[in-house]
Amino acid sequence: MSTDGPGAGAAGLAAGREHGDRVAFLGRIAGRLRAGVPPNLAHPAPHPPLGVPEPRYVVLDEELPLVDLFVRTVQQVAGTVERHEADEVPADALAGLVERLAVRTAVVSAEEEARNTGDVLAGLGVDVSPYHPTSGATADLGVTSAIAGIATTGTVVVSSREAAGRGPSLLPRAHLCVLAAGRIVATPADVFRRGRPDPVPSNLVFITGPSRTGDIEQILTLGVHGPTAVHVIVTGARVATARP
Amino acid sequence: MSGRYTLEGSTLRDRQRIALADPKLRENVRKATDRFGFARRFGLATLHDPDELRSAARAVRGEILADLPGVLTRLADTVLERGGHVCWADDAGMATDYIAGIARRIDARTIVKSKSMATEEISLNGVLERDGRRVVETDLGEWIIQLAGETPSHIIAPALHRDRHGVVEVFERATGERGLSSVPEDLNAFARQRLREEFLTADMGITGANFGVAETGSIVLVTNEGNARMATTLPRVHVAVMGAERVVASWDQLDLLLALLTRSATAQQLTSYTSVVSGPRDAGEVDGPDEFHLVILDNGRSTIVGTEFHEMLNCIRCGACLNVCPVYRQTGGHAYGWVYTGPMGAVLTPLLAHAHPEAAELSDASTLCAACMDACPVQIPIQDLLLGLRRHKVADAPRPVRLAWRAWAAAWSRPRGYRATTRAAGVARLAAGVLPRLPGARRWAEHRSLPLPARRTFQERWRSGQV
Repeated sequence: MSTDGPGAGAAGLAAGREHGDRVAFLGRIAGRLRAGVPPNLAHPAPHPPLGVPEPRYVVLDEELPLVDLFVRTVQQVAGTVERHEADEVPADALAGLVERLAVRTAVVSAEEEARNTGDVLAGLGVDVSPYHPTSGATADLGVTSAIAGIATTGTVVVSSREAAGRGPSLLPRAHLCVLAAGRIVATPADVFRRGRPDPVPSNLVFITGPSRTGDIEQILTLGVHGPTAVHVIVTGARVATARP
Repeated sequence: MSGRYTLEGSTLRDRQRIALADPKLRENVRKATDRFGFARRFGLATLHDPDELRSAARAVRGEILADLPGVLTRLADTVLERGGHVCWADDAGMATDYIAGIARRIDARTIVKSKSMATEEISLNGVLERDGRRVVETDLGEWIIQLAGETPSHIIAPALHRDRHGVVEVFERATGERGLSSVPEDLNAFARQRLREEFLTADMGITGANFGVAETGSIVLVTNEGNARMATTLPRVHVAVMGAERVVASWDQLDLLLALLTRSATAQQLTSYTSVVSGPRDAGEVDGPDEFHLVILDNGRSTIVGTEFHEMLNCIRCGACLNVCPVYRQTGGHAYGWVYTGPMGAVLTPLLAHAHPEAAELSDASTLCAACMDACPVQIPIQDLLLGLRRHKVADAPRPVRLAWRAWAAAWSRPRGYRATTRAAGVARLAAGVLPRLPGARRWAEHRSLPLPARRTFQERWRSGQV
């Protein structure tokens, strides 16, 4: 039943293998498409638009500076956020966070901003180590940066390539993300359509607030598998205003 | 424990009767669907012209399906380039054989799963369990019903039929713990701790795929709890099972469809986690799986392509049609008897589960009110498809039934015939009283209240100047 298909490798990566019969699988579909799809006369399908229309966010009509909007939306999705004009995270800001979240252990991702923040945390007496799944699973805090922040949705976008892994923003009890203000964009489309890392990393995650569930009586509960708290520190002065 | 689907060996009416007799279930379903349905409007209102976007999304999904072989070819090639493996699964057996084979090769003891309708459809858990594997559902709602030996009652909130006390009961029975608090936060913490241990020791993670993205060989997982991230971060093998139609060509299309999916499902602009997974871990990354497998599932989907039901393949599984459906809102999902419920399930089940003759009657689980199309993010004309399924069902009906429908259709196709029937108002008033008592019609009339026709028809009153 299983036959190994071709699967030509590119970009120097070891190519995967193929199982089953691709030609027969696709042939069944192609055969049925060849005769055409009967139109729905009661509710005819619209003509395809030119290109793929981009969702336009109502909130951008307010023409707020993107950083201000981001600060608002992160809180709307149950995250916490603070802003500092300096490029480095001030130690006293971290001291407050360490106390509020009762942080004794932290793991840091491979990004420079995260490692620098880890150094400051270590100076505050926190037991800091580079991220590993074992250390990450029991850590109080995971520190990462992000390749982008999205102002309309309160999202940080973390790449497994820059972070050198998927878990620092997932396994610890709380997640701290250090984000340069200049990386804040307006909409998801600014990442999906115009800011996609190329080549795309093995894991690109859009994090919008803490882990949540409503599976018991639809009551919102935070931190079911991922972090219970997400804190974002925005650094640096660059301010862009959203185009409406 | 892969849950119990009851399509076989029971009728829609039997299952509906059970649901309707359970006031607690009905209250939970009503509350949940009210909340989802209400929130959806606010979610969509964060965008300008949401209806224009829905219309565009319908066209975009249509374009993708029209080139489905091309888009799937590109997806498979890009997945292979990224070092992922691809399985073209013609049917459920082929998909489960492939996945069970991987589990055997790596000697997987514990397998963690993230909620996936496609894996429910192919009864994957049962196959793996018969092979001696422990399969653990990790979505909180899905874990609850797995422990209870039940099936999902809602696509987004699988355990909405149980309240907190029902959850305590299930947890205590399954884990042997006693005296658990019924506060949702505490139940949540209990599940977090138990399932965290499973994640850390699991050998294999299985997920579905909300979208496959052909451009980059990626799959997109849209979750709130983080369990799909866990299942794609910690185990050494990740298997994603994707219905062959759940694919987009480009990230532009992903942007549009994702914006509509999350708003229609939970009113969120983005869920807590949107993961774009492309192949296994890269060099230099300290976690992520060594192997990535994408199982592309046909299992009857190709038989829908090019038929009058083709547009059903546009479905992106948001659940919005469930929340607005007057039938679903009364019974919840179990009455549908299979994986897919609500209006979309009433179309998909007869098409995908046609091996069960019982599946055909699901097209009756609708009032044809079209609230489903109004709520659908890709504007599938679900009521038209249900009507089409009923037409097929009647075509297979016994001759007297066919003749009766044909006579009615002929009469009402002409104004004179239509007027003749409505003018017989007196007869109709009589019929309303007598019909439910006739032996043949009693069963039909049992759950219906026939409105009493007016003494004079609207047309008669119009002509006499009364309106």
